[in-house]
Amino acid sequence: MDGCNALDQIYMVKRINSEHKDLLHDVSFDFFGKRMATCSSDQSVKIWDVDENGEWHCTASWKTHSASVWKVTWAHPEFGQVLATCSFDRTAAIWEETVVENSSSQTERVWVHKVSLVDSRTSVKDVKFAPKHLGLQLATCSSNGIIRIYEAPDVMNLTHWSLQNQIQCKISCSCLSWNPSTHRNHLPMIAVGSDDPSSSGGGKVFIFEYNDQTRDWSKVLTIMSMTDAVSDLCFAPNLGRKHHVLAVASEDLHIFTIKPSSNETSTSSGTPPTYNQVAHFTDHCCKVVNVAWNDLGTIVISSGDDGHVYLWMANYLGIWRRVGELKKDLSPPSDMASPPVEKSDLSPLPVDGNRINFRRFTQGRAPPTERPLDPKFAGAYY
Amino acid sequence: MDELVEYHKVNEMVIRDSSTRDCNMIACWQGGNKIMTFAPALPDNQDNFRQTGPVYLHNVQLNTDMEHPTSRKLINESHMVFASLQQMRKEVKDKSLDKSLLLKFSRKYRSILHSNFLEIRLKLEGEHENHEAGLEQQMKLYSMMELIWSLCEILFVENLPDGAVLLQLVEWCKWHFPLADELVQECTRSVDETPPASHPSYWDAVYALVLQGRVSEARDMLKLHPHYQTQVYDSFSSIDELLRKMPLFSFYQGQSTAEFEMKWRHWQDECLKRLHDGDFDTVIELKTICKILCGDEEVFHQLSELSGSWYRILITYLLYTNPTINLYDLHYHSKLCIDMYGGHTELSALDNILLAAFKFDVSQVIRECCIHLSNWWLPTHLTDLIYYSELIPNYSSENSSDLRDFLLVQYANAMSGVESLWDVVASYLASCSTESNHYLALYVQRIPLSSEKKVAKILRLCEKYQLTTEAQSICKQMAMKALTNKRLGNALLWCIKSNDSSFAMYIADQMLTEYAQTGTFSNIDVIDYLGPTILMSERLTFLGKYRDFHRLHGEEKFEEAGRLLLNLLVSRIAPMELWLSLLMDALPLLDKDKIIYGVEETSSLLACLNTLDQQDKLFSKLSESEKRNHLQRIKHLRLSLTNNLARAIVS
Repeated sequence: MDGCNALDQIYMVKRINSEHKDLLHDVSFDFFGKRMATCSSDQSVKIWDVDENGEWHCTASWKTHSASVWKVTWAHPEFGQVLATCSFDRTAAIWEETVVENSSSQTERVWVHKVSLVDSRTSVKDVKFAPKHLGLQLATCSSNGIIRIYEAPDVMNLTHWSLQNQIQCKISCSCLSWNPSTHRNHLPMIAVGSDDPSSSGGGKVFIFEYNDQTRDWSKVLTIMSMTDAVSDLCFAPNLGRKHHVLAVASEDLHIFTIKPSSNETSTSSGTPPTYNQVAHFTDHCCKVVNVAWNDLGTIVISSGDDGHVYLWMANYLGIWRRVGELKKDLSPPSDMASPPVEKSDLSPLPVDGNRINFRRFTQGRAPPTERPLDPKFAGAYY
Repeated sequence: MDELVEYHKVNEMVIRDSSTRDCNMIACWQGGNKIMTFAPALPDNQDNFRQTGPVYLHNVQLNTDMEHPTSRKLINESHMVFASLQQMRKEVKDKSLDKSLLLKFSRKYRSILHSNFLEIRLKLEGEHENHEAGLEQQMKLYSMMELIWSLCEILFVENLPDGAVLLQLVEWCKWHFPLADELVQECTRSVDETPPASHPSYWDAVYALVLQGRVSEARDMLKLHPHYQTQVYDSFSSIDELLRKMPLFSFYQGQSTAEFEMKWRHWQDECLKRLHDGDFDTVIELKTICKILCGDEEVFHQLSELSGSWYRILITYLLYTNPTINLYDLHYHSKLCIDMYGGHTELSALDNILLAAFKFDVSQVIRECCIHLSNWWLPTHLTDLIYYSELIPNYSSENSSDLRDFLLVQYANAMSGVESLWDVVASYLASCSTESNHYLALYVQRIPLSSEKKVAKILRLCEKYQLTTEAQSICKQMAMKALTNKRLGNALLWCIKSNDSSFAMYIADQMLTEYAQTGTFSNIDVIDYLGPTILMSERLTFLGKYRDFHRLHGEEKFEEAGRLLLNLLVSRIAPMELWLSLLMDALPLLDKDKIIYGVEETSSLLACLNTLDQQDKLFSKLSESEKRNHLQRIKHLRLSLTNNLARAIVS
């Protein structure tokens, strides 16, 4: 009856060979967690689809840039299957999956290069699509400190993107995040982090807001306490809260709440946003490189240079705690055939995760077949 | 304030990846409870370092407890109870339901737990060797949850008047710790070989029965002893009498507490008297029983082996020393019993949960359950059940959320890894008390739209909770999906549902382009079913009208058809690119015996033709052969129209 420790959480690990010829830079999932895009120093992007058994299959792979691809990101599925990539080669690119008929008159899905955004003169470090209620917008930031906002005026024609705004940040930018809040009182907001190494350069996290009247983005807040280089930051999904929550990966992990500027639209009378640090964790003994929120915004995950990944959660009083940890073991496995899986405690491993003899898929292979849609449609109400 | 702070134990796991020399690792969410980790390249030493071996990704799944097939039944069945409880709250409009109703729900939950427990046990018995080790753990977990739940039910939900809980607690012991029954069975089963009384565990069985307060069963056992004689009054008859006369307090017998206490004191005085008189000195075992009846602490120490744990001895102890114990005094006595079993340091996680319950500290129970149980099932449902009965202190500040909401979200989140449970997840998220369904709205967007049937269900859900933007977004996605698969009719239907006029125009344009190229509409029958929604987009209206024209023409209602066609041209509703096609459609009408277009109408048509002829911009877009074709058609049309004009004037 006793011994609750036997009932600890159970983990499962599955190993997937990425087939990339060089190290990965970014992995990005579509809205449903059913498709994955990976990008690597080998200049290519690969698309993965998951099947009913949870196995990942590479369904497309192509060379996207002429240098390392830093980031890859999915647009909202409302706009189709669209990807954006950014690279050391100073460009960002838009890709769309389209259905074409091949020579044997079978439909095939191919990723088509739509446009290259070539405005930057330096390496483009991050690219992110705006939340969908702002339309099809895209923000990029480059290492010389320029943030660019692009918009596709016609969502059916992705070859045309217009540069809406260009914001000078003065110091090198490394990451950006759109505020996902859809509340009508919240102005569109972007947070940008800088990886400038000098700690005397002042705050490294900047908040920009879009003003409808001036049709321009302006810096409304600098988080002055963040003087170390920032490698990643991410807004949490807004759950009708009055404030926004921002996780920042720097030397340590920081979580801030940001009170948006007051409702007044005129800039003169509106109060600027304020920030408040709600959590600061030094558990990673070296630099934190990445932060991510889960779908419901309840758990934040942070990865450090020390090979540790921590999971954090706030309890209902808003107090943050570490709730989980993933560690990397560098020792070579004694037997390559044995599943490279480890479990938290005593229970045995449910699934063999070894995928060494993974079949290589060629570009343009169709994803797992979709269930046929019913052509007859009844009961329209929207 | 700080007591509910620490919620979760830190869980650790190791990912073995020796493919890179660097030790760093990046993780990102796949969604639900899945994480993908990989070794990232360092941006600084770009190109200096080339990877040699394969690069691996690791797909990590956290907390798979809810994905275990045995959990499926628990999730679905308890969801039904949960849903009906919410429904009841809505109907009664009083969130703190009647005690008896709550008790009914609590018992439903408990019976689900128990049936799950039995099912797993059956499965374990069925396959003796190669069962999953996880199954045994699941069984342990279920029996533990049942134990906790039933105790909480007695203390927090049932909550009898006067707080007289002891009888319930005795029942609780009886139900969950069948040791006495096992011993009795052991003794009686071997009846053909050895009489039960000479069985080595005979006395243990009697003690165990007395310890659990089951006096009549104990008497039955004693009757099996060879020395037991009804005729002679000896120590056996004496103990039998004491056991028979033991008063049991029950609220429902209409006894007052004072009356009972008097009776009780009387009875126990008698027990003590007989003990001191040496009634039982001849049979040492009967003396022990009498000592139990007298509430002798020493004897409890001796028999601690039989009771097994501090909470069971607590109940025995109270039964024989303080039978009218009040609910709120329980924790006072628990300390003594804990000391009997090695003090506070020896307490396991389960002990802590039960201790908190005995202390009547609901928040602590929930907190401990969150920390120690591997799933959120128990804390979530328990909190939901008793949340409105004001047992849980409600803190609220700017950063904090409602405890019930918090747990509901955690529970739903733990299930969100299982795709087929999406409606259950949505139902729990929809039960959050916050005014607008933010959690639900977030979740709904992430449900994979795998089939039209599922989409229809999701849309119904959106409608129920007024998630209009989310519903529109889903429709738009479906439209986009159909469009990429070149199924224009389907795309149009979805697009109309999403109420996006510009997208509808785009699709209508696509259909017209197809018509201009091939001369046929592939999905035009959709238009007939649209009804008034056709007015959503100008292009769609045109498409509908144009379709009407074709129909009228087919039905040989040439006059009406002709009027409609003219209207389409004159009202400028038709896009310029299609004017030529429209005018060509008018050609057959001109050849009819009856004059369809009069003077005025023909002149309008001619005016349209002239306008078209002057559209250089449009003309320049065409290819060489198309240009030739275009010119030829205009020439032909002009001739026919002039002829018709002449005919009209003459007649």
